[in-house]
Amino acid sequence: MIIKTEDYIIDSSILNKITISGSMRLPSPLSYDQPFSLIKKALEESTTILDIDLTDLEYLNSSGITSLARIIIQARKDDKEMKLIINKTIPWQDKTLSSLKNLWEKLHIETN
Amino acid sequence: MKQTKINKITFWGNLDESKLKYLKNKISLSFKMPIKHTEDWKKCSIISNFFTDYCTSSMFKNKKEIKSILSTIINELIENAIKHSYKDYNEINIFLINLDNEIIFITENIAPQDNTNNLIHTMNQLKHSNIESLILNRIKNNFMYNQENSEIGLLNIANNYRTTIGARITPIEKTKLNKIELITSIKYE
Repeated sequence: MIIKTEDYIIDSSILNKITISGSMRLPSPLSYDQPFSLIKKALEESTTILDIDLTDLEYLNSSGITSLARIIIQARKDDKEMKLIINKTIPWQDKTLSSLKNLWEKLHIETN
Repeated sequence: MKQTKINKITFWGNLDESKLKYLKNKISLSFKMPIKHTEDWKKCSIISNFFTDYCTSSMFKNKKEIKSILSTIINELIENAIKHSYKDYNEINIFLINLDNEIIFITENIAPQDNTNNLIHTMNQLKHSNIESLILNRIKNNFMYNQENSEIGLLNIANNYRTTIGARITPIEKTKLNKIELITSIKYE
């Protein structure tokens, strides 16, 4: 499935992989529920490590980071392994997402 | 959380207050933003990108990186001011001051007492030695109690970028409201 808006695209059409690109600056963590439902579903259906490719995600505000962190906490509860693929040339990704590793030992961070 | 009754102008946070002297005489750009929280939300991003482009137009070194950092920070500060404004005062003022290798960004909004207390609590936490652990704890608590707001924006800015943040709080007479001036210094190379 693909969610496509003027600002961002979320693509879950490949098994065990989600790609998020563009700019996500929604008003609250609650407003991420609908677009991030694709990540939750992909996590439930994953047969191995779920890759979340963020390398073309230019911006994600603190509400989005909170929502992503909540999914990571849920993955820990369900013992689901995840990998965030991040872009080291986008400053917020390296600075902010690396610390989320402390939420779940089976969260891997791969830098492109 | 400790409830602080504000009856005079106070200053909180990790920014040196003396820095504010004469600052408003050096304003490069100022903006008044009337905003409806949900309908106009996208304007936060539009304005932050505009301010960022304005700041970096004559830069050559590390331009892409600085643009990304400034837009991230300014957007977070604008969103913060709007989220914490009192419902009848849907207007915020924003100011930009361009100094050598430093940008000062100021937001002004009117906030009710509860939001003011939350801000003071966050400002006091800026002095904590391990802000990253505070952010992770807030995320875990928000998840546990299913809280609507993230409340990590300012801590995230303070933890990840070369910033100092101060809040000047001025009580508004005969009301339970306060004028909040949030001053953020962003250093870059």
